[in-house]
Amino acid sequence: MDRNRSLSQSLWQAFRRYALLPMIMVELALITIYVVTNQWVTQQTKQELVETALSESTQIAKRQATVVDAQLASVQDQLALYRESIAAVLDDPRITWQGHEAWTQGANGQSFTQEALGKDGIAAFYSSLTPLPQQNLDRIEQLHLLTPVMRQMVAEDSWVQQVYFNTHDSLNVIYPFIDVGSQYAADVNIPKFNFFYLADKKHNPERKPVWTPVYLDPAGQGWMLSVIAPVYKDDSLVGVAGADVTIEKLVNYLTHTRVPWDGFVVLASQSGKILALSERAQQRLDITVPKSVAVKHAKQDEIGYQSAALSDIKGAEHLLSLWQHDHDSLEAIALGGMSYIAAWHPVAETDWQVLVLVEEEKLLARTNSIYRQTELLSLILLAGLVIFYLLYFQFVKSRTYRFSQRLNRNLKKLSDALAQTGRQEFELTIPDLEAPELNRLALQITQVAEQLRSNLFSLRKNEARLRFALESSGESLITQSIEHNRVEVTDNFEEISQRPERVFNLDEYSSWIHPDDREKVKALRLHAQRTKRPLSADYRLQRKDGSYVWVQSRGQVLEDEASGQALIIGTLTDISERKAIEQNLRAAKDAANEANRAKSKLLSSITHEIKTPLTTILGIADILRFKLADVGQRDSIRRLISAAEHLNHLVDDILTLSKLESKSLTVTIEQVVPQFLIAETIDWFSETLETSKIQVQCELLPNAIELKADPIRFKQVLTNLLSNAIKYSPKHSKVKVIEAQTEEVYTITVKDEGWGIPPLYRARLFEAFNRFGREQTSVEGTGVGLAICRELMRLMGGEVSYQPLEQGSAFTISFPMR
Amino acid sequence: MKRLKRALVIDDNTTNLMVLKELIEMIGVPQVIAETNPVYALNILKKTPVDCVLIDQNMPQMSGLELYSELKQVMPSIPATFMVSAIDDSELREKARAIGMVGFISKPFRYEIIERMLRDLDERL
Repeated sequence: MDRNRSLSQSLWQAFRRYALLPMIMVELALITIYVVTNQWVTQQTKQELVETALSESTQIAKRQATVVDAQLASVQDQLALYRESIAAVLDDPRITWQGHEAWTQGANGQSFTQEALGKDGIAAFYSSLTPLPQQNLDRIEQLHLLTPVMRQMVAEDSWVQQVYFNTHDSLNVIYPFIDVGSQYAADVNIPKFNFFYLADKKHNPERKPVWTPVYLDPAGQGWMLSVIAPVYKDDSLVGVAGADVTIEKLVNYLTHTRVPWDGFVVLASQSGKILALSERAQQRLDITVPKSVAVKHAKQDEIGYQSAALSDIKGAEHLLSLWQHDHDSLEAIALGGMSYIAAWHPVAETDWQVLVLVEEEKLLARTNSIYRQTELLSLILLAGLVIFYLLYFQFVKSRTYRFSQRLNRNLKKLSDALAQTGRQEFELTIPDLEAPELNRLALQITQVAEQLRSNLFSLRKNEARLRFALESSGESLITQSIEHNRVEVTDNFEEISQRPERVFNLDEYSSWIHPDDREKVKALRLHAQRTKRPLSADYRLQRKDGSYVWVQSRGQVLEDEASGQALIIGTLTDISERKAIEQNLRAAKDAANEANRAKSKLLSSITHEIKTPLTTILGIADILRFKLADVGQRDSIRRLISAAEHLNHLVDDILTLSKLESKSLTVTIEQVVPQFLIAETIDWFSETLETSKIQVQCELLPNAIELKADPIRFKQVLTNLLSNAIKYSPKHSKVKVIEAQTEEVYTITVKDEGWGIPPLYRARLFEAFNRFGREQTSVEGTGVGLAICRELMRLMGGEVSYQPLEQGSAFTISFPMR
Repeated sequence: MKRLKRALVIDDNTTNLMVLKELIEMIGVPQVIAETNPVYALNILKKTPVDCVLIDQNMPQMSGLELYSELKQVMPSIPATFMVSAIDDSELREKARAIGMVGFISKPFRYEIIERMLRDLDERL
């Protein structure tokens, strides 16, 4: 967890992460499922609808095509009947021209009816191309007979506009009446018009009624088409019967056909020419189909005419190409940038196609609107959810905030209490907190504060005791902080240094230290800091009056846990008195040492001074010893030698003792052969032994050994022991020198047959100047011999011991075998 | 003495020099040269071959050790030399041995001791 984040932030984040986020995810998943399902259902419904629309459209197309078909077939049948009737009456000799008032001659040679022949009768016209005398007026009369047939064909409900019969000699009979005189040119060649050619042998060998293509009526009736049938008499073509059908009725019929979903019907030729299209559909497809064209002299013999075509509509090529292969089908197509459901069906007898178009948009309008509504509902749902969550988030956030505020409030009370404790105010009254756990914590804090107070009290008591102890001892507490360049002292410092301040600069303090001591103190301080070991330094500190006082500073380096700095805490003691005593003592000791040295030097020179005449005495005595023949004189010489030897030993002993006392005697350990040293020592006593008649017997080891010792001191010890043995032995007695060796120790024992040593004195045998009551006897001696022996043996790592014998004494020196 | 035929004795104290000379003669060395001045002794040694030298340590002009050091510098080979000294301590003995002297005779000297030392030397010559 981020330590810098506040409590409310942490709570809020945890809630967001572990509660809200998963909830939102689940909700989003559910909404997604809902939307997808909805879309799927809509898609299915749409497909179903399209299929329904297609089948319905097909039905309509088929039905309308059939209806048109039936109408056209009926017209054709009626025309066939009319033709048969013509064939029957034409050239019937019984029927002849009756003459009619309405029949007139035109100025240019043409003849025509001014009015209808009879009530609601026919009109007739003979072109000037047939001269008057050749005009067969009987035929008019014969055809006039067929007026009821023609009238029936042009009935109220019939699509037939006109019925007519044209002969190859340019006679035209037509019903209902029209003003042929003014409408036809005088020399009109009738067989050249009204699709006469379609009936000839070449174009119609089967002599069936045939339908013409659509054309624009020159009589101003608009778009028309005709059905014509040839009339043969005696296998020669006499004329052509025809019926004109105006498309207007057909168009009216088709355009008023109700198509569900606001669809519409189109009648078009196979090649794409549009015959019928409702106004509404024209607007929708952005195309104009002309109703009528005021062309008086239309060239009726031209089949081709200009009309609106499907190919003008964008996307219709596809539909046209489908027609070529598939005469009866349905398809979803795009026309003029819009989607249509298209179904078509051909009309028999013609090259027409009844096309039903339903706008997909309209078809699916309902479904789409439902889908949009559902979508809207989804959006509302989502928005509602979002709003709910936003509100919920806000709510949770405010709750979290309030909760953390509450916690903070309580924590602040607790921290205030702790701060109070920090200020050493231990009488804590923590107000009632808002949770039992917090109250328990508060109680614990109160208890801890109580404990702290009691601890602090005893601490202060101890501190006071310590301070008192320090003050009464005259010591000052001193705290040095090197990092802060600071020294703190207590009251007694004033007595020591005459300086009343309590806090100093460390550099300033250091400047008061005697220059001779300053470096030492600094080094000690650094050493203590480095090793963390206790520090003790004696140095001179300058007082305010300029004089120096000896102080002792003892301390310990402590790490201040709070700041991490090293502090040297310790005491400062005025040790000037002790220093004075020490100095006196040192002076006295130096004096004593000086005196001792002088004594040693004196003794040393005395020794030399004594030994020089002794050398002369003993040397001359030795010469005389051999040169004198007189026994008495020789005896005197021996006594002289003996006395001189004694004097020599005495001088040696005194010198040794002096050195021992001043601790200046050193022994030089080297490899020695004890047997040689024994012989050399005994040599010294030759004169004495001769005088005293004492015999020295040596019991030596068969093989001389070597051993580590100082040869001079070894001989000195042996000389002393032998000297004592000889001194205290009666005349003619024996002194034995016995050499012995074990694995651990090498010994030389000197045995005499003298008086021995009384038990009373044995304990203090090896003390100096102790002659055990022999002081007054004639036996010469200083009483230092054995003491010297013991010290010398100790210095050489061996020892000397005494064993009383039945008769006499035995002294043994021993060396450990290494 | 078999080989020890000539000895040189040096000591500033004339009495003791004479006593030592006589003792050595009594021991059996045929010719004993006695000299009180170390510098002269040096000259004698340069000219006269001797078998053995005895030098007193404590002389005012030059100590025995100093004389022996001088001898070592000026002579290709030095005869066996003994130190004679009234002060007998191991330190001095050690110095004498370290510098190359063959023995140490402490004062007061005794006939028997000198005799044994010289006989030992005679046998080793």
